Amino acid sequence: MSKRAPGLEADVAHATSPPKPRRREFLKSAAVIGSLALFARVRVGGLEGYVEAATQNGNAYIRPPGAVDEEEFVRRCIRCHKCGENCTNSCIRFVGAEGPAEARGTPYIVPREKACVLCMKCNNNCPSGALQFVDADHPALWEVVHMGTAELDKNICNSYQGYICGVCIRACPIGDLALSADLWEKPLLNPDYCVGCGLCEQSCFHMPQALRIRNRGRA
Amino acid sequence: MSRFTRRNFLKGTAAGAGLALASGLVACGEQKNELARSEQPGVTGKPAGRTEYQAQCPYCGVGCATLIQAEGERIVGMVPDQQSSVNKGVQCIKGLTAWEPTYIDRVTQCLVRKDMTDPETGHVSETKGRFDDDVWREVTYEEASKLVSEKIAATIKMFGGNSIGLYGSGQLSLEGQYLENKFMKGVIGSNTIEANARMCMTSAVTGYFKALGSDTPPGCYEDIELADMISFFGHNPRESHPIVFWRVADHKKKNGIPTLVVDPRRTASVQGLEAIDPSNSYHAPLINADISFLNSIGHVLIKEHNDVIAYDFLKENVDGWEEYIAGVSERYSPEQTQSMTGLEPEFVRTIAGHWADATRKGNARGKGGVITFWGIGYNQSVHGQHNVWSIINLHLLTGNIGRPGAVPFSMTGQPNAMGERLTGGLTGRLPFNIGLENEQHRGWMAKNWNIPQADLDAVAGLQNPGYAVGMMERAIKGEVKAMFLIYATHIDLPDTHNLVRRALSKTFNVVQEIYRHAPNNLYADVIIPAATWGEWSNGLYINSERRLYVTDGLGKGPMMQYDGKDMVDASGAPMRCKPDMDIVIDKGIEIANLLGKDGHAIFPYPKLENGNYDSEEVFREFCRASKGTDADLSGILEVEAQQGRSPYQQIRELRGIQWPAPTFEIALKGGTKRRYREQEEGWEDKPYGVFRRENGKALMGVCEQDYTNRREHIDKLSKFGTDPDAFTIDHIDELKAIRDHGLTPELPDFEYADRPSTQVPADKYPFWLLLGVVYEHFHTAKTIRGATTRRLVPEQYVELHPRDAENHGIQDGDWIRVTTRRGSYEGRAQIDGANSKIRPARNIVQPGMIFSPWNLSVADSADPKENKWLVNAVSHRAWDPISGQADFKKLAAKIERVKAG
Repeated sequence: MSKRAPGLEADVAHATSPPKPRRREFLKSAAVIGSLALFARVRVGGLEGYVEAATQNGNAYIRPPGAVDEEEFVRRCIRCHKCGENCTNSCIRFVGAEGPAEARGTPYIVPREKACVLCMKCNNNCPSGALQFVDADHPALWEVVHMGTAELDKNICNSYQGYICGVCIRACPIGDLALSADLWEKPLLNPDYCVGCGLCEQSCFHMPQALRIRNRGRA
Repeated sequence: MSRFTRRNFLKGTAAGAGLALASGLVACGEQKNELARSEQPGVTGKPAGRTEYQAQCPYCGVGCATLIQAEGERIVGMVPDQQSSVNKGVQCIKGLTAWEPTYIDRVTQCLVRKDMTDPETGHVSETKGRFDDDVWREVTYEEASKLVSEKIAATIKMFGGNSIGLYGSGQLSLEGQYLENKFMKGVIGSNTIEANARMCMTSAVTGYFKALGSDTPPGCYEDIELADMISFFGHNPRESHPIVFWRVADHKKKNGIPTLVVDPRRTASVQGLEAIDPSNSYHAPLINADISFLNSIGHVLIKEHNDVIAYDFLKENVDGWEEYIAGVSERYSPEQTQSMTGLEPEFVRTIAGHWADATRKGNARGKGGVITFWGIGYNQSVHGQHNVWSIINLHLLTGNIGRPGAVPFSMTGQPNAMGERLTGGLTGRLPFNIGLENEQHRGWMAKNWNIPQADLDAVAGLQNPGYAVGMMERAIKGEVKAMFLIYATHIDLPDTHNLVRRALSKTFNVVQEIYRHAPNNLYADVIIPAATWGEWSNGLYINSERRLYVTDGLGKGPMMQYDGKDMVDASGAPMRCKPDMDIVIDKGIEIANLLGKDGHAIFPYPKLENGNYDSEEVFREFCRASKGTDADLSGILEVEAQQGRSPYQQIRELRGIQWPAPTFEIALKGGTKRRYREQEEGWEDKPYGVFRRENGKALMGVCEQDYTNRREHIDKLSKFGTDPDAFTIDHIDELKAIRDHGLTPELPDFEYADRPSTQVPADKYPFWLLLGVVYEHFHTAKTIRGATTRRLVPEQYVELHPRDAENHGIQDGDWIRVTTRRGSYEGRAQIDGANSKIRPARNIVQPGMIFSPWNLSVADSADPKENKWLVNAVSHRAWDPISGQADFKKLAAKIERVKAG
């Protein structure tokens, strides 16, 4: 039984194309619900320009799964650190003094150091709605989790450079859909199914990584 | 129960994806699927300041040619050799990172256990099982060497040569293995010499011997691209032999050949081939019923595809074919075997149909046909030899042997397991595929080894029943007093605690080792630090296609330490950890002298400038001794005599020579690609007819499988590992009964497999436990120390089916304990293949079946106080009465949850 899906020949150009309208609508509706002002009083103000600045070189924080869009996320997060406390995988970090003032104390993930295993304990315990509840057994996680999206640089990928590798394919939790194997273990990336957990980036041992998670630029 | 899982969802989408898949294939077909690297010449330009050494990869038996890159005295990387015909400029990740663990956790001092076991006085150490700093005292190399030689010589004098055992390795160079054998059989006078090849390939060895008369894999890798059908039995090549798998997959994609994988799990290999073309990719999920399956294919071929039975060939070149045809025709129709295989008769007929088609294509073209690969899991059986013979039977029946593109093909696990086999470093063997029982060959080898023939004659009269397992049982009984453990771990042997460690706790053990915290050190009385692959000056490996390849290196091991300082020898020159071959020579000379023999005459090898022995000189001796055998390499010496190119130089330039190379011409063109029928190379005095058996013919015979009353036979074996006084070497008849009925050493209590844990009595073992390997690791020592591979798969895991997980209250990622009658280990539950969050999740087990890799056995710690992941703590020691290979990868087990992940 094949699980392969359309768009086998995804490449970097694909991955950086704008998000599909379907998902954007989803995010909008989430934002509308979210902005019912319940948490809007937390650290409001001073966010003008934050998201643009944070995402302009693709350096935006990779947020834990279930995060609403960046501006709303920063607004809603009450910096309670419950997500981190509940993270069984210890992959959640918090923005410290090095980060922009607006984002301080908010959770983020550095996939190449420790990627998310999608246990969803963080968002299941989020009291503020900054992280929306996601069922860990959701049958189509790619429809509800949008941490970021992987980009594959074939010019440095081991399997495209004469080494039979394929560790990213084995690491991918949406195996055979987001990352499937072509001959000689060459990874084929389909960003439509990528949730941005970063397990592929963590597994990639080429330095720098051939697979990297980019924030989806949801500014 | 019909929870909406991700898998169900995916099934729903698969139909839609099917169309897209088809179009995807077309698109992929247009793109060039050649190996990426070879498209980009110049990518591997050697960086400035680096030296490159030609070598064969130190991991699996594919034998990829690699270039070791070094800066100064340090290995800093490896790149594939673009000119190799084996890997064609490609290498897998294990090979790419094989250099990483070279400088981690090295032992550089000679260590002697303070409380040492002493065969002379009968004292048994009380600190065995520990390797902490406080149990050792540091000594100089000379002192260690002297201590070992004197103890061994005294033990030989008191108890005879056969009281000394040796466990060697398919990681050693050919020259090291050859000298190991000379050392044991020629100097010590022992027939108790074993190696990890015993747990790996000896069923293939004895299968080849039985059918063809010589341990000779008849084909070569070039056959892959010529084949019309390829099968894998007990083999997950995508994980264990990636280069061979992808050569097959590439061929399948280009030429649409049918493929078959016989494996109880839906492995990555199965999935990878199905992704190329699901319509002609077959998977037979068999446990143990391979013989029935193969016989059934034979049955269908005879009954329904009689045109592909090679009667002319059989009449002329094969014995026993009539009995085979009569036997499988009578007893092995797909309907008759269905209760054992669980396969629909139609499936068997389809496979037989493909076999027949491929044979017809091969016959028509004069090349091509069927290739059957098998792996180690297939050999590891009480009826391992019969498993192998069953495959060869089918190849002989249809003439699919020795022709380009048609061959039964064993894939070895170790890089130089083939060397171990050719040098005969096993009980009862001499080099060049001839047994110790052959008096004429004993005389020939004694002459070449420069020892009296009477010495070898005496060894021929000695027994080591049970081979590797028997060696350990004899140690427990007190017959084996001392052991050498060289470059092979003891945790690859079955039933670690009840068999192996119990034995090693009693014997005086000399361990040649590279890692300070290796499991062997727990039981060592003397540790001699060794240099490892890449640090040797040179040496040869032989890969699965009989290709001799150089393993050049820096020629510099780490500095040997004593008392916190670098050691110097008598002349003041610095001393480095020596290659294993050198340690064997040093000990060999000393022990021979102590026994009143002339050590220097037996080991007359010169040294290189760097102080290491010149292994090329050993290889010259090897070539001379091979003259006239069916592994004749004397052509290499003729080329040297006429052209002045040294043997290693020839091998480097040709990127390998495939044995035999009996003449100048054959050596010059790189040896013999294919053996036997229609062999391209012929030469005068070829010592056999078409096949190597005495009458020049191959042998066929029905291997039987019969499950009636199987529990009765199998139950008799439950005492091994549970009753401390039960030894397999005293019950060989029971093993033979298991072999002759084609059974397993254990059988799960199937009736409890689908019940919740509360309804399973404590003394029931409902699951099949399968052991094997994981893609990211190679065996248990190096890759768990290599930063890259260690990070990718750091923890022991247990693959589990969702039904069984639910019955036992186990969540994905929980720690669970797996218990058999002999012991237990722990691992994290990996439920439902790719849907698990425990990585890597690639393979899918059936309900009632669990799987763990053995690679992570000591990845937590080798120290028994902390070690919980040791899978061989649970395995069974039953062995094949002919091949000696243990049947320890399919066991009866139960599971329980330990804690949340």
